[in-house]
This record gives sequence, C-alpha cells and structure tokens, in this order.
Amino acid sequence: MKYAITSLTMFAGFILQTTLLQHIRIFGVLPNLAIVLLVVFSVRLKMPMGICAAVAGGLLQDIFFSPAFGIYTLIYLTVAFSVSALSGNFFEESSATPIVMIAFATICQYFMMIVIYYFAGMQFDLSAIFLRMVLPELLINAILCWALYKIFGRILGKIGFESAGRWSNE
Amino acid sequence: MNEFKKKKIMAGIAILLLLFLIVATFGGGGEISPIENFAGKNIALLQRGFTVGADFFGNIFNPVANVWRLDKINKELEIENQELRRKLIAATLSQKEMKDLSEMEKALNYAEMKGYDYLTCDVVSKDPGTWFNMFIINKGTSDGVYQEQAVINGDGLIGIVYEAGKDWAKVVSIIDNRSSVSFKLLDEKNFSIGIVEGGTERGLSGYLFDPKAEVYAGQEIITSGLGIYPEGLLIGTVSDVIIEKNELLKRIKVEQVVDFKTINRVMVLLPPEEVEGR
Repeated sequence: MKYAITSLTMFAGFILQTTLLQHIRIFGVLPNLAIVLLVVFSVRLKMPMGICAAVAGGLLQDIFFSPAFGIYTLIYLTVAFSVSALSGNFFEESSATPIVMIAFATICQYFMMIVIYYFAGMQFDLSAIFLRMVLPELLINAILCWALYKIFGRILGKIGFESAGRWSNE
Repeated sequence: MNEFKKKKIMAGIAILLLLFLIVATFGGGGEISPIENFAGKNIALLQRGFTVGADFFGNIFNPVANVWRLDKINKELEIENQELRRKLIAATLSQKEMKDLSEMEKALNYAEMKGYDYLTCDVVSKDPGTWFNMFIINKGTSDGVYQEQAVINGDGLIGIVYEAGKDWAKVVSIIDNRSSVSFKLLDEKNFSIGIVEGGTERGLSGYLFDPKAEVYAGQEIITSGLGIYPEGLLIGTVSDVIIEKNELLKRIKVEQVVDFKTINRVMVLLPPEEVEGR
C-alpha cells in the first residue's frame, strides 16, 4: 500500500510537471516536482520509499524525455540513497532540513547530468548552467519543497505512514 | 551473507544494468520499444487531457495576469507578423533562386512546392526539466510520423522528430542542447550559410562558414537544406554578431521566431515519398 501511494504520488507529480506546471515557469525555469517529492519521501520515510519514488519518477521521465533510457532512474536512485543517508543527521521537524536536502539533491542531480552528458560527448557552458539553470531551479525547488514537506508531514501522519524517526540513521 | 551485503550487491547490479541501458539507448533508436510504446500511449492520453485543461485555464488567466501587455493587440500583431514573414520569405526566395515558390499554400506556404504534406498534431506534454527542450505529440508511426521529420508551425521551424512510437512521438526543439541546424541568410544578395545550435543560453547561437560574409542584427535566417531539415524554413532573427579575431568564423546569436513556451499545435512535414505511400 505504501509503495502504491508513493508511486501514484510520483505519477501524479509527473503528469502535473509535464502539463499544468508548464504554464508557471518562472524566468523560464520550472520547479522540479519529481526531485522535490523524492526528497520529501526520502527524508520523511527514508530508504525504501525514497527508492520507490526514485524508480517511479525516474522510469516515467526516461520513457518520455530522456536521451537514453535509464539516466533519470540512475540519477534519482543516487539522490534517494544520498538524501536518505544524509537526512539521518538532521532534525526531521526543522524547517531547514528540507531546504538543505533539496539544495543538495538539485546540485547532485545536475552534477550527475553534467558527468553523464560530458561522457556522451555533449558540450555545455558550465557557468551558464549554474547561473541559468541550477541556481533558479534550486531557489524554486527550495520554496516548493519546504511547503510540500510540511503538508506531506501532516498527510503522511494522518494516513498512518510512520516517519523513520528523528536522528535516525536507518 | 548478511542483509547489508545483499543490499550492496543488489544496488551494484541495478547501477550496472542502468549504465548498460544508458549506453545501449543513447541518441534514440528511431522507434520506441513496445514497453515504452504501451506506457506512452496510455499516459499520453491522460497528459493530453491535462494539457487541454491547462491551456483552457491558461488562456483565461494569462491575459488577466498580463493585462499591461495588451494581450489582444499582441495576438493580432503576431498574426499580421506571421503573414508578413511568409510574404517576405516568398518574395526574397523568388528573387534569388526559387522563382517557382509563388504557389506556396500550406505551412509557411512551403510544403506543397517541395512535395511535402503536413500532419497537424497536438502537443501532449512538455519536458519537465530545464536542461533539454523536448515535447510529446499525439501522432506516431501509424500516422506516418518517423524519426528525423521536420516539425514546424505558422511562425517557423520548431524541431525534429527524435523517436516515434505507434501513436505518439518525441520532438526535440531547435533550442535543445542536442540541436544543430544548417542555415542561410535570408537576403537577396547574400546567401551565406552556417550552423546554429541550441544550448544552455537563451536563444540560439552559431557561426557562418564565411568569415567575410556580411551579417547584421535583424537579418532573418532560414534552413539551408543541407542536413536533415528541408530548405526554406524560417528559424529566427540575428540578434547579435560577434567577431573574434582569434577565430576564423563569424559568430552570431539568433532569437528564434517560435515561442516554445506557448506551442500547443504543430505540423510534421511528411516527405514526398511518405505522401505518395499513403
């Protein structure tokens, strides 16, 4: 049941991201709902749900928008692993936790994309990527993540999803 | 073997499998696999519903949100502008080398002359990221859409079909990182050619092969016909010319004519052999 709800949430996030959210680009940048939800699940529910969210979100994005199948799944799995592991060192109810985690996740995602596309022979301007993509997306993601982290915290508690616990390393 | 080791081995296998898939599928295979096809066909239907809804509400709220931009006047001017561009292309090309282009009737008044037909498609969904610029259309191989067919709208060139499924296809726009288009200047006397590419910066950037070619801001560029894009499709307007003494090329920045944020209907150009086969 938990896996089904996590996967369905990622699916709904993907549909919103590719349709409705296209209308609210800010300075040409979209909030990345997939990575935001991934961080929320990874921090709130830790490893198994984080991985479930990563696989669901990654596969959907790979089917439709990836230059090669598997890129987004690999990136999201790495982010889910890292965020789940790192979040054990943070106080779960702190408002800073989702912001630090989403900042890490966004940078980690772009870093992996740069490495993969570099080996694929693509050329890009690193400063332009940082200033025009990473930085604006990070700011928008941080706002969205902070809000969704609070909302999901309440919803998950109400529907019986137990948090992995404070200061937990599991 | 303890639980931790098992998890480590499983994670290792998953990473290796994903890396293998990435290497095996990079660059697109032309046709989409049956599993992707099944998923894409069904999800695309749902996405189309959301897109139609979003467009409907977007059309209602956007003019209100942008009241100072006088949306209505803007739209009228855009239509007038499109018409003038079509006339300009027809006039300029006919003067230089394509006298028989006067009968242009369809998209960009272009398709019929070249023996092309076009297929109107709806945009189902757009790339969720900011790195690439790809979108999904609701027509596929069953309608005659295949890899490397040009995609246009009334404004000009949009991109190219990247992969095609049975009832849907992926389109890479010309402002995408992976895009590269051969162009020529739309000028009565000067038909210099070059390459424009998409990238991380806004708009397109490129270069002219001839460093002595005369190019200035405001000049329009069209596809040259070299490579996969057919000749004569409007790409954009030169916004800046950069002359670097160390390089033997004249670099340009181009403002594309198509507004990629608002496209919701596009036309796929079907090559002559495809039209005959239908």
